Amino acid sequence: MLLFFQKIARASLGILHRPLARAFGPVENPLNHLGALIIFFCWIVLISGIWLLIFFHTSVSGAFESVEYLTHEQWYLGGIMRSLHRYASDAAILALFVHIVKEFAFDTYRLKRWFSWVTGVPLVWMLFTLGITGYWLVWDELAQYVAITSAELLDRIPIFTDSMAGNFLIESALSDRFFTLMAFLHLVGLPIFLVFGIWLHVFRLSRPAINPPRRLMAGTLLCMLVLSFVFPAVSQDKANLAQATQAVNLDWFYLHAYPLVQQWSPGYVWLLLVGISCVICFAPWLPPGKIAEPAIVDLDNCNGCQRCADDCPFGAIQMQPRSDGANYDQEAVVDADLCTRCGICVGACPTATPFRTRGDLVPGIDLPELTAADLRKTINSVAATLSGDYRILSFSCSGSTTAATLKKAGEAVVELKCMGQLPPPFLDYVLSRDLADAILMTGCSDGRCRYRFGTHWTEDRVTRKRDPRLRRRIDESRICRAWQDLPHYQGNVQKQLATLRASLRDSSDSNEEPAA
Amino acid sequence: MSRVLGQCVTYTAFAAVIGLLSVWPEYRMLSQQDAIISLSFSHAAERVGECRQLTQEEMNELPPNMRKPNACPRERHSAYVEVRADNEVLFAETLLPSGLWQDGKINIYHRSTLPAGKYQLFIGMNDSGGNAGFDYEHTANLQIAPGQNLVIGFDNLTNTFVVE
Repeated sequence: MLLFFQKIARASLGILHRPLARAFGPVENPLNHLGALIIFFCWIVLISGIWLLIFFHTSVSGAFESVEYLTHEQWYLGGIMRSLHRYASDAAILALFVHIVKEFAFDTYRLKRWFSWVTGVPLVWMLFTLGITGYWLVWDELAQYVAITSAELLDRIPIFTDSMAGNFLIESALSDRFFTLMAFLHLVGLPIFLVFGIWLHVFRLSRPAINPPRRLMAGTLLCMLVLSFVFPAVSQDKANLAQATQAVNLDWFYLHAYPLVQQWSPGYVWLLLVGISCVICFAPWLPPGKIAEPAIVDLDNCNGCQRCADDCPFGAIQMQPRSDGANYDQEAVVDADLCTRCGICVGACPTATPFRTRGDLVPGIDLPELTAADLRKTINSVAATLSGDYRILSFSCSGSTTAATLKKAGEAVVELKCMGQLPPPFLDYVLSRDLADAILMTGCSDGRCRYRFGTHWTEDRVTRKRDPRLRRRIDESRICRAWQDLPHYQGNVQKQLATLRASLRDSSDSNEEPAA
Repeated sequence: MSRVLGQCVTYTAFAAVIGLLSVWPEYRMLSQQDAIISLSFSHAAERVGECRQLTQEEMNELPPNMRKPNACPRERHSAYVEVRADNEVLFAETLLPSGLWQDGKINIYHRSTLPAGKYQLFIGMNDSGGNAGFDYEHTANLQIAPGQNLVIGFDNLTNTFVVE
């Protein structure tokens, strides 16, 4: 069931991903910066909110007029700020929704990542509460509807003695004090908790992306500025408690659950919202979860070089003083609770070399689920099945759909937990030992990597920008990297294979010509 | 050039989604010809038993700071509240007092929708636990306008219903 929904979510994101990758490229693809975009939208909300606060009157009688002044009298600044405030808030919810769907679709909320996933749930509640209290403050007809419906919802919680909704029936029953409380919640209380929540959300991630690329920031800001000029946010009629609200222009991003309060009842709406939150909170432990062994350090082969600790996307490896008396300062120590079993640390280990002839192939750090020795064995056996003139051995991460596509097409594929698990010496091994004529490396595109940096580090290692680098003796043209949206990726993986075979054929022809 | 075009299309679609869904479609919760009657008040119902005057001996047994001349049962009766418009029952419910000991006030908040027009409104409440009739009742002939929010409250000082 869960797998079925994940498949649908992946397919839906794929529809969005392809045109966005084409338009923005891999680095600036908005789908790869959703979390950072939400934070950026929050910055816009904060800055525009400060301007609104300067002119806002926190009283029942003054709130509406002060917002009207900002919207109409000071339209060139206050009005634009108000519109930006609204649209950036809405954009944050839109990005948040896609962010959640993406993490769910690519199964990146299990194991160690449960922490970011679970701490994200209160963040969603906070963001919605912030938006709802914001609409309350304008004190127009929408605010009246929001106030009454929110109060009806809160009345359902059996901790209040008097009915809160009763305060919004008669003008004389409504006090400025209550308004001040709402303003405090919206302007101070919730934002402080939100900042703390965001910090907690990214706390266990190494190198969390806090800011999206500058051009993406500029583009989205410009987009919302234009929208603010063309379609400025305005208030509805002033709230009048003697009159029932008959119809409102709802902000569906924030208030989509509110009509249900009338259609069902506040109790059922709570049941739905709390139920969804609980399911999301427990999702990391729902089947089909697999718990593999974490990475293990072999001190006899660990020289304390720190590359595994540098490359671990989740900060699961710490360098500590040597405990075995060996002539190195440090040793790597794996925190099993933080390890996602991706194997990126193995790809970073300089001792993970298949050329080793003395003793067993045991690198300084290894993944029990698929050890470096197992990998060499698999490469040997898969390569043995290759035949013909242009033999191509493919490497693919198991989370990528391309592995299945390649296998279906009868190609020789070696699957890894993540492409970051593949140490560059293994590429050297395949080509120098003539196990294949060329190598196709394929997997998740950068930014969509299930383990965050697997593709990124692999690309850097193969292009000799990051240790352990691919040896100079390797002809790079024989290694094709087909991450799904990198610039050199020309289409689907079969096309990529055909291109690689054609290039091998051309190169073979050109080698033969001088002899002729 | 195609990338710029692609980005323009993306940003336009993004703006359109944000701009549209922030105000559209309109949500109508009340038909133009309807009005709302809101029933909202708190009221402490009668206690379940009579207060009894303590004897001097009973007073002496109590700690000095707890000596009160009367001993009253803590619990209160539930209250039955009924609202009718031209004999159509809008609300009829027995409400329990709040608190673990059922010694607090009853709290009512209820909204009913009805078409605008002329109505004879009846409100009654029985809070003494008796079976016969209402302890408090109010009848009014009202002309309710479309979109009006008519509020029914209860003044605990005068023990009368208030219709605003």
